[in-house]
Amino acid sequence: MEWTDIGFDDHGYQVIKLSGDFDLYSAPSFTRAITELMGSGAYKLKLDLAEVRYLDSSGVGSLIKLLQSAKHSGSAIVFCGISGAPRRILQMSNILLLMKEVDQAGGDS
Amino acid sequence: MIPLIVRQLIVDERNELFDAQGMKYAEFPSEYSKVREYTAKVLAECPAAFLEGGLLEQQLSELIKNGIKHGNRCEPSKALKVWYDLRKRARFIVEDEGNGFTNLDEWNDFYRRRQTALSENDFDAFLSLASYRGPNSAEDDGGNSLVAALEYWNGGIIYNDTHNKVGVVRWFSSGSTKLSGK
Repeated sequence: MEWTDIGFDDHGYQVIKLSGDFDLYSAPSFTRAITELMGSGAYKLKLDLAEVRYLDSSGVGSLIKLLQSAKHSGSAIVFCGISGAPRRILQMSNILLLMKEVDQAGGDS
Repeated sequence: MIPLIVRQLIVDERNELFDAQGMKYAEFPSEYSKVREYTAKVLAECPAAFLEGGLLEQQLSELIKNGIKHGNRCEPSKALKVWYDLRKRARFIVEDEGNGFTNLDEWNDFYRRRQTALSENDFDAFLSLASYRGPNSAEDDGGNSLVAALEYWNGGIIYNDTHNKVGVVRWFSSGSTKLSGK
């Protein structure tokens, strides 16, 4: 999986676009990179998952860790573009309920 | 209020899901870097209707990953055994050479607490319980694969007495109809 920082949107969220397979091989390095990016202060982050075609439990675990970190640091994470099998996995894991989704432009979806 | 749904991992050595008669068989060395490669090999001739956009690959890879990582401790000399039957439904038996999922009862208790928090809209508690952490969990473990597995394997997910062998089945309403004449 690759991820790209595409800057800030109109709502002040730093947007990270993910593409490829969010799996047992890519999830650990992604978690470390984003945790480091968020640091310890309040932060506004938007993860664009529109080009993630495969998500496994390690990817789900990565998202859970980021949600937990955001809660502890007072940061905000929103998500956009979740579809297909990754969306189904998040539903079956009950994790989608915890994820605030917005549209690509940043508004509530 | 979200309805309280609590499923369970079940131990039943004599369950019909462990009957491997007529099933195909594959055996792999426990190389963690090849989890998805092994999964692809098992599913090479899978009917397209069963794949569901990658869901079947994802769920089977979790079983193979658990066997290789937690069961066989990624020791290539230890075998990961897979029996599979992709006629009419997707059925698998996955066995490793490890000590078994020793925390199965604890996991069921964790899952009950997780689902209870969810049903009570206690999202703070739910978030703290979102990933299972047992004595053998690693930092990189997702800790949630069995939650989705309990829903996905709609015909059952059963462990043997020593908890190192799991049998699962998923039925497909449309796929089963399409294949019923074969």
